[in-house]
Amino acid sequence: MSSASNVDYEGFFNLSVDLLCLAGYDGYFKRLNPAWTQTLGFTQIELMARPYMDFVHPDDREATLAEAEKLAQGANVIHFRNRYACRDGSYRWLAWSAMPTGSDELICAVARDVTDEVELDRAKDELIAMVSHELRTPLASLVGFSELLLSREFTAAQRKQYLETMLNEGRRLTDLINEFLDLQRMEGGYARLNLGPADLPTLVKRAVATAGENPQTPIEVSLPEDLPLVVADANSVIQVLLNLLSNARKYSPDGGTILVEAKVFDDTVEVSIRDHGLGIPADALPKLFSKFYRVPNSVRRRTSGTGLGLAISRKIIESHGGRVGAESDGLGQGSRFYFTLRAAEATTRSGDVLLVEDDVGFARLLEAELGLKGLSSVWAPDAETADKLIGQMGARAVVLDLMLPGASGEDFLARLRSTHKSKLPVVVVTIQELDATETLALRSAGVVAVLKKHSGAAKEAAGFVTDALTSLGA
Amino acid sequence: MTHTVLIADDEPSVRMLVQATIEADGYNVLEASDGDEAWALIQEHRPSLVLLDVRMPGRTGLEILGSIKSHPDLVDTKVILLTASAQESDIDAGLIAGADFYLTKPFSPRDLRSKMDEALFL
Repeated sequence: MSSASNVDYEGFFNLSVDLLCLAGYDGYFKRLNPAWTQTLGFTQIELMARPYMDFVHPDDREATLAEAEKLAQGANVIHFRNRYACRDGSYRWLAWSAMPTGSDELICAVARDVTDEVELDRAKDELIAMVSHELRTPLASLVGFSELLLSREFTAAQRKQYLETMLNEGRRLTDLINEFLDLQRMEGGYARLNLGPADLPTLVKRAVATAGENPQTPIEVSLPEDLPLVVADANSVIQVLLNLLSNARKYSPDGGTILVEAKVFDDTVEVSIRDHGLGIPADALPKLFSKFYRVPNSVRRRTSGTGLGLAISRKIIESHGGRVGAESDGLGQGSRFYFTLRAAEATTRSGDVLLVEDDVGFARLLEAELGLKGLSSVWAPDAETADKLIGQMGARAVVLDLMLPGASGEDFLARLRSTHKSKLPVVVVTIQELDATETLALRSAGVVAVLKKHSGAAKEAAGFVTDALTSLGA
Repeated sequence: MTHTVLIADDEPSVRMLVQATIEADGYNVLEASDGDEAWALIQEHRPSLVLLDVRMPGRTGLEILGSIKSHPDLVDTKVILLTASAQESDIDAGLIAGADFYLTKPFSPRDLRSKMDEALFL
């Protein structure tokens, strides 16, 4: 009992991560704990040598004085916040609780560093203000035109024009919400990338095909022959490419060829998209990838968009460990957007089994099931990537999907047997209903098993792969 | 007398909405898609009333409002602010700077007409 009550409180004082102090009504600190120096960088001697008000942010001094006045009159202070100077010239937000000690003319005070909280709150407020601003604009058309159409007669041409505007603005609102949620998911780290070796020319080809044709702004792809495989989440990189291609088109109102190129620097590949469009003023370049930033565009009608596309692209590329950037010689000079991806290293390219499967979830299942059998695997999201991998990775077996984004599984199988002269055991897993002839064709191409894709198929496939490897080894 | 009205907003859909709202009222309507264009048109045409988006490229709505109120020949111009931010600080700043009314997007076309009537005819 007595030992607990006689404990030395000095220990608590020194241990506290909160800032503890005794201050006098003369305006000077009398005692400080080590947390002060850890938080502000000033030594205790420096802090006690000057009136404490010297360390308070000039804008907060009046309020601080008012709180000190309260204490002098015997009242407590709770939840008071002010900024204190740090040795490096920055300020930290402190949240205070303080009380007068009565007899000995001292104030006893505890402060907590709440700078991170304050900054997070401010960032959140700014974001909410920005989002609500961006949502209100398309809503203005939806609410305004529908009220007008309900309350008055218009000509058929006007009605059509107003309804089209409502539809467009409704779509813009939808895009905005979707893209905003995408971005939040990525920033919160909820969106998992499925990284694997990927064949860049295939990703570019798929993005260009999705972008579609436009005679005014044709897309020209010029990639070096010997590009290494890159580490990428195929769908996310296609999303970035699409965003950059669609921007290049949007900001080329007078047309012009859009050029997709790539260059290899040591262990990274830089992909760039060049246009001959409006160009970007130098002062806008650093802000381009910020949320909701739009280049002020007074010369031509404002281009539709959410202001989130580039922010999303940046997040995607940064999650890949790459960089994004933009260059332009100024207005009217076109622009060049680029991003980098890591080249796939030898270690990420070797394994026992090559999985050719565009369904990421199923590929992960296969990987897990094979792992249980002691087999490592490498995942290729399309046949083109698989073509490149098969020559390099020393795979001993293949699990193959038939329906793939570019070339089909059958194409890959034909090349595997002819070009690579390979006798590798292949297990086919497909959602397609195959008739007897098709199954027979696969069988005669050396497929050891044809499985229908269902929940247990990954396990079955792993079983067939193991059996095939065992019988080969025997 | 036919009143000249200027609508300045960088969103084409908002300008179209304002046009559709007041097309039957016989105003002479001017459009500007940014702040600098708006200020040039105001000086040239001396509209009786301007509808100003607060956030535009070039001069902001509040800057133009300031210029109007400090210009001896324009000081009587009626001003309605259109804002997509519901932040009270923005609205207060606008009213203190001498705007007659403000409307928050989305706004009701009926409200817009009644505010315009009030500004021009009362």
